[in-house]
Amino acid sequence: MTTFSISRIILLLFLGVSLFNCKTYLHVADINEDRYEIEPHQDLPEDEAITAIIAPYKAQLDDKMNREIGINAEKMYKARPEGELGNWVADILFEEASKLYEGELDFAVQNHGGLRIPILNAGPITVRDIYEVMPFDNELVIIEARGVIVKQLFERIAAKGGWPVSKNIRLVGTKEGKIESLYINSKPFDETETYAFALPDYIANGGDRCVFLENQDQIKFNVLIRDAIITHLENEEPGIVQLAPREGRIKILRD
Amino acid sequence: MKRRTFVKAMGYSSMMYPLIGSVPSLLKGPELMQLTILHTNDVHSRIEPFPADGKGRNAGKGGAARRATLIKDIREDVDQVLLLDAGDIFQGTPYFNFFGGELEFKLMDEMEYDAATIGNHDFDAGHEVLKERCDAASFSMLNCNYNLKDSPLRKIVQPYKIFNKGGIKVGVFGVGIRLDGLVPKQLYGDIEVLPAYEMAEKTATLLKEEEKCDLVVCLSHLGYQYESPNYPSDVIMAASTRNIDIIIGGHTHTFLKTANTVRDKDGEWVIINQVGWAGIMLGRIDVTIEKGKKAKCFSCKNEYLQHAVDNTIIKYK
Repeated sequence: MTTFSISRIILLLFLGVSLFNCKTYLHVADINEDRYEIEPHQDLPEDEAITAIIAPYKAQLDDKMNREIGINAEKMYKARPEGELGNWVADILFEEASKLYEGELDFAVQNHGGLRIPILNAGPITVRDIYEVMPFDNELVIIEARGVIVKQLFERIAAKGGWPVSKNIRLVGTKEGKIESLYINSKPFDETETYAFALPDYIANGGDRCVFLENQDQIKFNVLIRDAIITHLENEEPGIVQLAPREGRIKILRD
Repeated sequence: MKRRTFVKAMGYSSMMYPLIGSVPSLLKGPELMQLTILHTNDVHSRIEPFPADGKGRNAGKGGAARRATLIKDIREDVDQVLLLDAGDIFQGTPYFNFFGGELEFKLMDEMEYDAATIGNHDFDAGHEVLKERCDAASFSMLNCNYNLKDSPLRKIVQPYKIFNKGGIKVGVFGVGIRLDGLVPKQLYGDIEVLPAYEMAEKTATLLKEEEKCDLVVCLSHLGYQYESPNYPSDVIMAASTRNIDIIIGGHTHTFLKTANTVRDKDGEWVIINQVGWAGIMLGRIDVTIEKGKKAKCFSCKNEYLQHAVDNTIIKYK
């Protein structure tokens, strides 16, 4: 029905519109629209020429991607304000960044949008899984910032409905981006303090409207967060990933 | 939305042809031509379908190989096809991380894409790499609001391209999103982003009025619609410009149930469409053009034709 009404509208619209070209007139007489969902179907086989072009790339990739690097003990979910997947990634980010940083790191934060799968199933974890979790080539960076800047970061996290943060954080905030309470490593947040935290360079560069971070100096190690996760899993013994449960790292109050 | 069976089973186009074929039997009737626009957006390196592992709603969907079959089937059914992509070809699977977009472009070439526009993620390997990919491909990369300055893309990206599809002159141009805050600076160098609406209208007007295009199509990576009016969007662009007939959009991964129509600033209708992301869907817009010796549009007013055209639409929504 919708298509019908669109074509009617277009019909009326182009009435009287004509284009002169060598005594020939062209009129847009009708427009219809349609859309197809692409999914396994007997009438929609895979095109062989395309499959052949993909094959050598796929073979190279499968070698690298199908490598098992750990075992996930329990299903993890990506969720707001807090989920197991985000907790797990943020804790790894904190641990790996702590190894690289000379000082003492206070916490780590990862933007929600940087995680790209809704669920990480229990069972073997492959390199491919980690690429699915984080396809973006986000670099791990550390910022040492004054409390006023850190406050804006947590206001933004609250306004976004919660982002993955490491276990060092206990934040209670509102949807409007107000901080009700904030503890970092069990100590009340102090606006006069300086905090060191790890995060993706995308956010550090002001992405996701974190413009207040733009002019902060970044400590870089030339390490991608995805690679840090892979390295972390490879070095874990005996390679079984335990759940980072939801423990109230972030709570967002409803009105 | 109900799942569609695919093009051969649909009977959509096969019903269109007898209709068009019957027109010349009407005395001195005009010639009718059909152009079929097929489009994707935000495919995000989804070369293979989503794993068919039952995880999530997209399991088993998408994939270049099935899309190619569908496109080939449609090409067999209709004479004139324009195959377009609205950007964010790159980023999202290891194919991009390891091969830097080489395969994405190769596959688009094999499917015979006519043109694409640049999405923010198409800079993710840097503008130099994007230029290399464009060099190797035979489809056109279009953008009218990036001042490319010293970027290597300057040699390859054009604001618009005019396609002659069986006598129909179609002007296609591209519009890109802001890069600041979305793309790390070092990846796009000194490219300056010019006001989207202004540049879009300027380009559309050139195509319509000077180049005398029969149809003006905008490939946009602005995004469909935002809560904040500060972000340029397809809906606002359509309403605040003139001379654009169709906007094929991207960026917001919007699964529209049907194309939207918005009146432009001259009161003319603009069609806006977007088909989600990851190559889960292929969009199709069929334009029927009447070619005649008279300034008056015969078929636009012809009740018989109107009736017949309406009957070719399969009600599936």
